[in-house]
Amino acid sequence: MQSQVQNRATHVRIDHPDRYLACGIRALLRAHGNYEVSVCCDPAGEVAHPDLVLIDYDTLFSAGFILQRQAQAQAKGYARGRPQPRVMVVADRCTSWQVRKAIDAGVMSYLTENCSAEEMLAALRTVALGQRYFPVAVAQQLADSLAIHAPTHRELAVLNLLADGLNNRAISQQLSIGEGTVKTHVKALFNKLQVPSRTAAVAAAQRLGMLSRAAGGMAMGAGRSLAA
Amino acid sequence: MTPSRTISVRVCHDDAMVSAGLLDILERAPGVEGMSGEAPDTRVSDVVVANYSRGLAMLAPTGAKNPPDLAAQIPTVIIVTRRAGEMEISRALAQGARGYLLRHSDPGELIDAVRYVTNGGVRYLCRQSTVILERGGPPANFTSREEDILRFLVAGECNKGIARQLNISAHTVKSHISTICAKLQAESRSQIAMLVNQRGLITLDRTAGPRHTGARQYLPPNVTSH
Repeated sequence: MQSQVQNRATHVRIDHPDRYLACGIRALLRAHGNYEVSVCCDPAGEVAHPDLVLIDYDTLFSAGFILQRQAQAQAKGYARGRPQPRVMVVADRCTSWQVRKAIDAGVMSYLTENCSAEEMLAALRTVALGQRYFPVAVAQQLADSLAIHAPTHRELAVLNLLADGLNNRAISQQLSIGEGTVKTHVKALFNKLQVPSRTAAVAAAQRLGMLSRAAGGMAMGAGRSLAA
Repeated sequence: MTPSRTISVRVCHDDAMVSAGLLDILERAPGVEGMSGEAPDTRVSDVVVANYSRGLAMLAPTGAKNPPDLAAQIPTVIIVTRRAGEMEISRALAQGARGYLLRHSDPGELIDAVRYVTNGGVRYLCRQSTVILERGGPPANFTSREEDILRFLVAGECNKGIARQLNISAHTVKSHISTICAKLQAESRSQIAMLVNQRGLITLDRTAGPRHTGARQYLPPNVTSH
């Protein structure tokens, strides 16, 4: 089993929007071992049926990627014994909520972009064999995430509007619900995040990675990312 | 138009993968030579490409206050980062960064930036960071005390908590916060927190840079856009 994988080159497609990072991973894989690599921004050397796909966290939940996965699942090539490509996330940060959501979405590995070359290669080797790979820091975040009471879908929507600085009335108008309902959601959030105030809730949500970057970030045309 | 001489570029980026990517892109470009290096030696490289904190650290010891004869030793730094707050960009430019590229920018812009600054161009901003700077409001010009209060506010402290930690009365905290509200034209404290995060208005603890380079030293940059 293992020798089969070793003989055939592992086909990797890097669909990461950060092209500097994508080029770095490509250069690394070309220098080490048996890999066929293609990068989304470079049509040359396109891999038709990749074994592994590397993406960032946001791409994982983008409509384009989800539709692509559905199409792959239905395509004939995959139905005839060819497994769907395994997904690895290379994210700019690892927060407990993000790690948990990524694993729920079926990723085989979650790395942070400041990982070492050795770690990247180890992850690729492990995932190519069909096993999951999580660095220690990510595994710790995953364990932490199990201690969080997960907010509901609606509570998360309220949380994102809260993070934009909206008051209860404005939130109720945005979501077309009563102001009393918003208050209930906010109270539930305070309980789940164990915080006393709105601003503290936003700070906690940011630390845990619960805020979707589209909220607020899009309005200003700027990412909310705080990484180096 | 291409320079006759090879431009040497040193890559000083904390993330190994990004560092490798930058070198890969530089090496593909004609007339540009990339090298990786830990200690920046400005004599052997024309340009340094660095991440935000390392780039600013390189610029910090030789600030704008130096006598003119030392000015030649200030490295030509291009910053490649994810920090997209408008004040973070302004701060880097005020400290003497010659280029600012966001990580989602096109790799072609890196090469353009390298060529532009070595040919005597003053500042190269990637397309996105130009947009962010243009959209940003006027500088907030916080006092150092207001910045102290903002750090606690963003972390979710209430007025009483801030008062306790800074050893001032809750009433003083309140009046500081209303001044901050006026400066930002914000209506609530959660709106303040949102604006501070989005625009990168204050240097938070996770920032490695020195604190005295805060918003109050803001210098309006002579923005060269592309």
